[in-house]
Amino acid sequence: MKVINFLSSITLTSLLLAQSSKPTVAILDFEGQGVSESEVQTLTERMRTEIGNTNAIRLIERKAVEKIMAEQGFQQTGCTNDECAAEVGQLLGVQFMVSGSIGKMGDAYTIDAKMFSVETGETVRSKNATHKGDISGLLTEMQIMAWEITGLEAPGNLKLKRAGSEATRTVAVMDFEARGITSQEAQTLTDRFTTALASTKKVVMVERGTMVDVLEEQGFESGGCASDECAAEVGAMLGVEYMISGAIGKLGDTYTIDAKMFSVATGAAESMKSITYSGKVDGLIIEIESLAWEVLGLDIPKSLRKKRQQGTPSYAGMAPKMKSKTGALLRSMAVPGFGQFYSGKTKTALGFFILEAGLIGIAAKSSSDYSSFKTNYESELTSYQSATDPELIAAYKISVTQARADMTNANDQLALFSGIAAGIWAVNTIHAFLTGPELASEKLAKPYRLAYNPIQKQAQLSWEFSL
Amino acid sequence: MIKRFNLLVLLGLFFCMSCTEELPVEEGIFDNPLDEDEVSYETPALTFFPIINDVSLGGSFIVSVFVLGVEDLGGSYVKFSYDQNKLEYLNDGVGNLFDDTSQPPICLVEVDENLGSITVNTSFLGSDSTYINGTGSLVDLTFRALSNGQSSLIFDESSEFVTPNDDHIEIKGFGIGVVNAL
Repeated sequence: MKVINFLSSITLTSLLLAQSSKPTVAILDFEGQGVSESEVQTLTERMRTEIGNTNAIRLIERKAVEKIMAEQGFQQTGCTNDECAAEVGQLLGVQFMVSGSIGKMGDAYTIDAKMFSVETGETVRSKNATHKGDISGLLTEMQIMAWEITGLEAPGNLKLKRAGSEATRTVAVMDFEARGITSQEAQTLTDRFTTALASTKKVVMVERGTMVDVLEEQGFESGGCASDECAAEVGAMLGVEYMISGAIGKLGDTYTIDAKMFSVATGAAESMKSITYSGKVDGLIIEIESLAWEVLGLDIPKSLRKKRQQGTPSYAGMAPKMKSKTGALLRSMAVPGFGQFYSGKTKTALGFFILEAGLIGIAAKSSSDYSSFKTNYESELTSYQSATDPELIAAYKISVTQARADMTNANDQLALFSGIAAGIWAVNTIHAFLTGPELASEKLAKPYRLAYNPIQKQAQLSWEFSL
Repeated sequence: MIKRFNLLVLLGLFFCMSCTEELPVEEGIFDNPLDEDEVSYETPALTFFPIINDVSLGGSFIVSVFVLGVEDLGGSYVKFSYDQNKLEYLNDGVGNLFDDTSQPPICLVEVDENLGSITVNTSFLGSDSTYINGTGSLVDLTFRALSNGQSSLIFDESSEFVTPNDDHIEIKGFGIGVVNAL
């Protein structure tokens, strides 16, 4: 297939070179199979119209074809074979003829078309397409076929139309003008803006590469086409309906982004939006993503709104890490002394930790001793109960009494030290809370505050003073 | 003041949360029927050892007849009853009460399986001076559990001890043996 395309391209090119003009082509009405004659004529006419839009060939008008055929005693629908078509083509003096058929099979429609050389009879290119659905969908297929039969790629909007996309607006985005930031940063942000626009699925985007090619053809360097007129001119060349241009400026730590979408045809501004942001440059990403939705007049998605309200990671990172009394309390509840350590009271923290660890250690030792004495007690008691010798009975009785006393002592010790440990733990948690760090609100209670307000979408400098 | 009170209450609660182990029951742990200091009766006495016998149905067990705190024991007549519907007498052997004597005694065991009674007679022959002091087993008896349930081994109060001179020794206490057949 590629070889045929290559050969046909060579043929067309050589003809073009030889005649220094566009090749002449005539289109015969397609043969209808299971489709009415009037429908076939309408569809063929759509191909004629579209093939003229390609600007790649000279198309012989339908009337001229009909006249020749009438003179030869043919009806268009009767001239279906290649010999007839070639004969008509010779009479018309064209280089190529396009013929084809439209058939119906079940719910599907098929289109087969070919372009062949009148001089040699060789098929230069053949294409086919299948469409499922309403016959009106064949109109788009015929338009696409018109481009493809001439060896050109069909425009994106036609392809989208075929895919059933409801995207109606074709848009190209100019690199945002950089004011106070580097062009690389502006370019990165523009790319993010373009990606966000595409993610709305409400517009058809022109690739950046295509636009750069057009700009280069026009002799513009990157960023050189800053005026609306220039942008409109580029938009017209790209065949888009709207152009978006803008600027990103920096003033101190505050950024401003202005974006404008205007109609290429009329030059009228469709939408103008601007935002102000305070923070690191990477924090602009969420803002510029939101701007993409706003420029198109769409509601910002919930997820993006949430991100915006929470602040950008970098902006959030700028905020001081908030310590609280509750934080200290919870930490001390988990590990004695940890809350004091969290509050910066290292010595107290260490004191609580060592004291608690020591008490828990003693309590654990008491528990271990208790277990040991209990085992001994049970063993001695069993011996006592099974003894029959009065001396042994007396001896075991003493052992049992002693073992029980040891066991009771160990248990008392366990209760005492575990109780003290629990008390110290309680004191430690209360201490951690009472002597904990300053509340975040207290820390922030400075007389002035400069921050971006995402609700009002602007940076705010607030100043408080007591009356 | 209130804060301090709350703090103390809280600390008290934490103390209540302290760890303790559950001590075994103390009362009644010294329940050896041969422990003269702990038994409820006075000596000299007769008892069974073990005093409580847990046995599986069809299983056999040995129970000893013990003499407690006796002095100048030259002979004895011991009679006790058992539930013949629940227990079956199998055999017997002389206990260790006479291990230290130079002359072994005569020991006669009579069993009446119909009445469920056993009589043990012991005496030393040819000598009037052999006697026993202290505590020890008179005879070891083997039984088999025939049916489920609890039954008792009960001494007859006609049992008696005598000195080598055939003087009567009062038996002041009788232990009751219990058999639990499961």
